[in-house]
Amino acid sequence: MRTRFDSELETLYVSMIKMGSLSEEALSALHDALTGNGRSRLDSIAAISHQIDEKEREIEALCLRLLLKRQPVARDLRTISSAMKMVVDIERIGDNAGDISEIIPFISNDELPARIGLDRMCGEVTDMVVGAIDAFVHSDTEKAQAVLSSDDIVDNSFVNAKEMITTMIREGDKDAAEAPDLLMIAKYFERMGDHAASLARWVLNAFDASGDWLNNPVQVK
Amino acid sequence: MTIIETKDLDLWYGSMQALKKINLSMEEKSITALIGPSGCGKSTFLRTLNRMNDLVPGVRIEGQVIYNGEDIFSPKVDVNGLRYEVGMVFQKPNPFMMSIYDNIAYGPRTHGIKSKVKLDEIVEKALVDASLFDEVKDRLRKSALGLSGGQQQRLCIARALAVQPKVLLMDEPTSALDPISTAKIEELAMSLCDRYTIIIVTHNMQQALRIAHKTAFFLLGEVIEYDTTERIFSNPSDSRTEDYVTGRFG
Repeated sequence: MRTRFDSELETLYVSMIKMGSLSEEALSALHDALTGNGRSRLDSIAAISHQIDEKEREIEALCLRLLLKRQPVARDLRTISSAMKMVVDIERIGDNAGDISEIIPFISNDELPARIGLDRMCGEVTDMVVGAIDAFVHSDTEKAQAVLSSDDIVDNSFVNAKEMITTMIREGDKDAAEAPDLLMIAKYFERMGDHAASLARWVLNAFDASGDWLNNPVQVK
Repeated sequence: MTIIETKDLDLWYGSMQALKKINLSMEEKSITALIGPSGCGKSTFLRTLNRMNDLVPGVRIEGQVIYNGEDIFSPKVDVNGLRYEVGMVFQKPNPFMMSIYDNIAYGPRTHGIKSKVKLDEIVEKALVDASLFDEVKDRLRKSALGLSGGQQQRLCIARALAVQPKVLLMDEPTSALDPISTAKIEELAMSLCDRYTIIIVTHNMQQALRIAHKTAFFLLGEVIEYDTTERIFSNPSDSRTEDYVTGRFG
């Protein structure tokens, strides 16, 4: 009896998947560049980031329209309000991908990023983002919880990368001049992990029935 | 503090059970909304609270309704007295075919109040409390039937208030009204709830959200969930409540 509203929510889910796919595409381009598989796709990231921005505005407008027209309550309200918060995190992930794509060209040694595990960090963040969007679309709180736990893995990878970079500087490694750029990339990935964890929190906020949705919204780091 | 509490309240119309083991306790000076699909028992429940169902042939009631510490079905209870304290406002405004003044004075007069000064005072206070006084003060002796639907409904509320009730039962009081009149009744309910207890049946979810402190969801004669209105409409515990408030059935 509410086919239209359900199909509008379906549109929201599809848009969220598309926005998530765009960030996945940007991360995949970064992964190629960080594993020495060529930097040709780096140039596409700015355009992807721009598309992500557009998608954010599109989804926000859709959510506002649904709030206005449908005056949603309960699960619908939780879904729509979480989507509005999630697009902000995805947009920041796109921005961070753009930031990293601008730094990579300054790293002269192709093998360096993989040596300190930046490619692995990229993969870890990608899994988190894909997992969080998937958890949202399928109202899967277990998956969201798993994504949340993965943030520790990214944080550990950042600590490891930082230690290796510090060692490079301390030991006067021949590539020590690249250290600041490498550290910035690692930090951006660590931030992306935080945003992905935030995505998972919004999924839990929407679909974990035991929570106090109104008075205790998820705390974003 | 609880003002009305039902304990294992069952009600049958003939062989059809309309209420099943209802256990609800309603707070004094608050607004409680009763929601649920048509035929779920919410109006039956409301009418039971001031024994209006006694008038329905074939009705059988078991369990208790405790009002101010006493079971309203106890033989000691004076039903007319109960109905003064637990007033009712219906879906369709039903002013008596008499003047605005006489509509309000009707209850106090049957209570034995004859002093014109006293009646004037009661009528004015009831109309002020029902946010109607300014609109009708110059035509108190004119027929109540000349008022708009929204004004008539506020007149009915004033009439209920004139006998100084403790509880106001409202059965879809705005379903026949336009949005402006509806907003006035809602404002009125919210301003009255610091002095009166209001229990309202509504089909309008947004209305329950706007005005009620607590909401009970009825389905097939049972209370499925009773919680703060914010909880019912944001994160209800029962999937049937969620399905109903989001419009998936009903």
